[in-house]
Parts: sequence; structure tokens; C-alpha cells
Amino acid sequence: MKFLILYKHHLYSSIKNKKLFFVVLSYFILLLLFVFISGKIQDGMKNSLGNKILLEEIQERFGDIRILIPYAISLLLIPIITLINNFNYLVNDINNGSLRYLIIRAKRFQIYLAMVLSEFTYIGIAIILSIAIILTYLYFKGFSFGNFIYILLPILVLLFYAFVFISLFTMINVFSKNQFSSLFYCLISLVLLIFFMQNKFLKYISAFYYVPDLLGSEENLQIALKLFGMLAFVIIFNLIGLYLFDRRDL
Amino acid sequence: MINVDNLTKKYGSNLALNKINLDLEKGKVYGLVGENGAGKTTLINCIAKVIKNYSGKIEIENIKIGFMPQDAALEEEITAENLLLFFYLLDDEKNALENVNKSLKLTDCYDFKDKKIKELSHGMRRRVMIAQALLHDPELIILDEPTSGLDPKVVIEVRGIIKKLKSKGKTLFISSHNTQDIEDACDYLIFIEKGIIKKKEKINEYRGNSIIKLLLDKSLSKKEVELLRKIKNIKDVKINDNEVLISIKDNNLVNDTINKITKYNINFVNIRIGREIDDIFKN
Repeated sequence: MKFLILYKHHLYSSIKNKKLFFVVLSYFILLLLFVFISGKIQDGMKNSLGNKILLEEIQERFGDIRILIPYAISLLLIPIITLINNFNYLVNDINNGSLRYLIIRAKRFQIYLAMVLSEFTYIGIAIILSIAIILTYLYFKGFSFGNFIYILLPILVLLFYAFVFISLFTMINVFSKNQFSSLFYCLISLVLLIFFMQNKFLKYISAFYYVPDLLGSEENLQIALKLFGMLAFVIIFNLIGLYLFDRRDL
Repeated sequence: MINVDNLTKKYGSNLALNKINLDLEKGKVYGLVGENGAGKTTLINCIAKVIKNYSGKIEIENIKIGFMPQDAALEEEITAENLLLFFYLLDDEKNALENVNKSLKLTDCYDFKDKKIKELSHGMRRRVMIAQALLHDPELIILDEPTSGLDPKVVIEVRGIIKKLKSKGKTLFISSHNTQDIEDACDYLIFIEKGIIKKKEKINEYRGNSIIKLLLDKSLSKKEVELLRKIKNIKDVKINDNEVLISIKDNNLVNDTINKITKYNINFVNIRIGREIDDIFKN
């Protein structure tokens, strides 16, 4: 009950947050722009025989370019969106003392989870809505959807992917002294995740490694395992975050 | 109601609380008095579970606690009433609006309940903060510097709220660096200095009438001080600028001592019998 009230309250605050709205709107506009550009690229490639063969090869191997490009752009933008919004999400509330009114009434894990999940809900809805609008646009442009799973899966992956970064950055908030140190640690963590991905052994501890190559040739089992890998990151980051939050002076 | 045992809190190498032992009884009003940085907020935050990293033990009965933190931000884009409703619903769903309004009325916030927090003055916000602490009719109310930074008019209003709560038989734990703000309401005063509790005494004991306080328009001459010290009834004389604190050996000798002081032609502007809390702290 307390969790639900806290969750609704934080969600409502996120909806009213102009900064978050602007960031999400920018993501949506960029996505729409890239769908449009990728449509133009596709049309342009169809005009020459050499390019047409290349396009067919790409489509055969990776899927439709109009889905491929927005998906790749989303993979790039989501960590940035979550970073902008989450680097000071919790640490500001800790520093300005607004959580002190809550801790006399609710358990710390309820406060923490409500914040993480409400944030995920907002970003998640933004992702789903953006993709739904783009798909509607593509439908009217004559896009063939084919198997429904190929539409649902990118959405699912992006949701898991966003959840990983929301969890990571919120966890970083808990052990940061202020928003500047939090921003610094968030940026460092992003760099480290990219760096780890290049390494033969360290790649397994990079969240980026677990993003499935959905539009390529990965088997369903591999995709499922990678989704599970991202879920494991979500659980680990949140457990660490909860542990630290429960012990932190507010 | 609350038992604090050997509570110690460090910030790095700085010892904020040093082996604090404290018992708070039900139905009493406790004033935690100390200068800025004495450890008042740290002690209150430990009791309110804001601070968790400490050594020692804090035992609290299973009671409802209302807590007003010092200078903690309230959400800006919400009305006072809605903010309190949110806090109320975290504990209980029953009669939410009715109880919120009751709390708003008790703290004189009802007239501006529909205003957004960002539109409220510092004093109004402080009253809303107190109102949130009173939701759910808590048995124990912890107020951290409730009068800090307020103008005299609002301080009087806050004092009035504290007195109302006292008359309702609530247990209050109030911190302040300005003793005058809370002295009228307190049953006990707890003096804290550099993280150590110096004294815990009943207010009546502190304000006993074995002290005469002379307020002067000019400093006493050496001769006048010597004359005062020669009066047999007087145990001790302490001089702070234009104030003289005279400790008397026996309460029954107050009138006699005043007569003698007058006889020696010591010019004073005002005379007070009994100690003010500020005097206790100064000494």
C-alpha cells in the first residue's frame, strides 16, 4: 500500500518534470527523424542496381533498415537519456532532505523501489509510445510487419536495456555525496562498460554485451539468455542500491 | 518511551555525539538546548532513523512518531493540503481529508491550504512542516529547530502551537539553539555541548528563585562589585556586561538581599528573580 502511494507519487512527479519531458520528447523527435531518413536512404538505394542488391543483403541479414536504424539509435540514446535524468535523481532528494519526511512513515526499500520503478514506468511508456507511433507511421508507408515477435522483441529489449541503466545510475546515486560526484561516477561507469565490452573476458560484466543482436542472426535461445543477462544486471544493481540505501545516513 | 544508550556518532574524525544516554518519558516535553554544531540535529536524526551509522542503542516503543526535520525541502509544485494528504495516506486511508484539515487548523495553515508550497513564506512552510509532523495524532512529536530563521511574530505562533500540543498531553522532543523559544513549554531541559549531554533537569529546578538578575545601564565599578560580594546572603556574583547574576544562599533571603543591594545605592534598570534559561546555558 505504502509502496503504491509512493510509486504513484513519484510517477506523477516524473510526469510533471519538464526536464524529463523535454529529454523524452527529444528522443522521440530524433527517432522519428531517423525513421524518415532511413526511409529516404532505402528509397535512394532502390534506385541503383548495386545499392539495391546491397539493401537486399542488409535486409536479409539484419532486417528492415527502417527498424534497424531507430533501434541502433535507441541503443545509443537510452543510456544518455537515463544518465541525464537519473544522475541526480536520488542524490538530490537525499541532500535536500525531502526523504526525511518519508522515512518516518515508510520502509527504506519501499522508497527506493518506488523511485526506481516509477522512473522505469515513465521511460518505458515513453519508449513504447515512441515505437508505437513510429510503427504506425511505417504502416501507412507500406511497411510489412511480418512476424509480430519481431516488433515486440525490440521493444522488450529496449525496456530491459533502459531498466539496466536506470538501476545502475540510481545505485550510483546512493553512494554519491552530491550530484556532481554522481554525474562523474555515472560517466565513468558508462566508459567502463564500453571498455569492458572490448575485452575478451571482461565483456561478460558489461551490460552492453547483453544487448541481443535482434536484427541479426541470433538464435531465440541466445536472445532469451541475453535478456536474462540484462535482467540479472537489473536485479544486482537494485540489490546493491537497496543495501547501500538502507545503511546510508539521509 | 525512548531509551538512548551510549549513542556515539562520528563524521570522519569529528565526534558529533559522544556516549549519549537519555530516557524520554511519556507525556513530557523535552527541550534539547545547545549552540549550533552541538549535536542536536544529529541526535534527533538518530532517533528519527534518518541517521543509521552510529554506535550504541536506541530503543523506541511501538508508537506513532511525528517528525519535523530541520530545513528539509518540501515539494514545491503541490498545494499544502495535497502534500499533507500524500503524507497522511502513507500511513492510513481513513478520514484522510478530515484529519489533514484538523492538522492544518491546529497549525494555523488552513487559510493557505490551497496555495502551492512555492508560494508560501518561510514561516508558512515551517508551519506546514509542523502540520505534517502532527498527522495521525502521533504520541511522540520530534521538532528540530521549529523556530529557526523565523521572524518574532511567527516564533510566537509556533510557540503557541507547541503549547497547544503540550496541553493535549503529547510527548514532545524539541531542539533549539534559542532557549527562549521553547522554555515556556518544556518540562525538562537537556543541555548538549560538543556532542555530550551536560545536564538534564526539570525546568522548575533550573528556574528556581535563588538567583537575582540585575540589569544595569552601565557596568559596575570595582567598588560596587566588592560591596555586592560583601553581602552575607550572597553566594556568588557573576558579571556579563550589563547583567549581574547573583546566587543567594537561601531562597528566603531574596527580599533581604534586594533591600541590601538597594541600600548600597547600586543603580540597576531592572531586577529579575529566578534564572532565565539563557543564563543557565551561559554558566
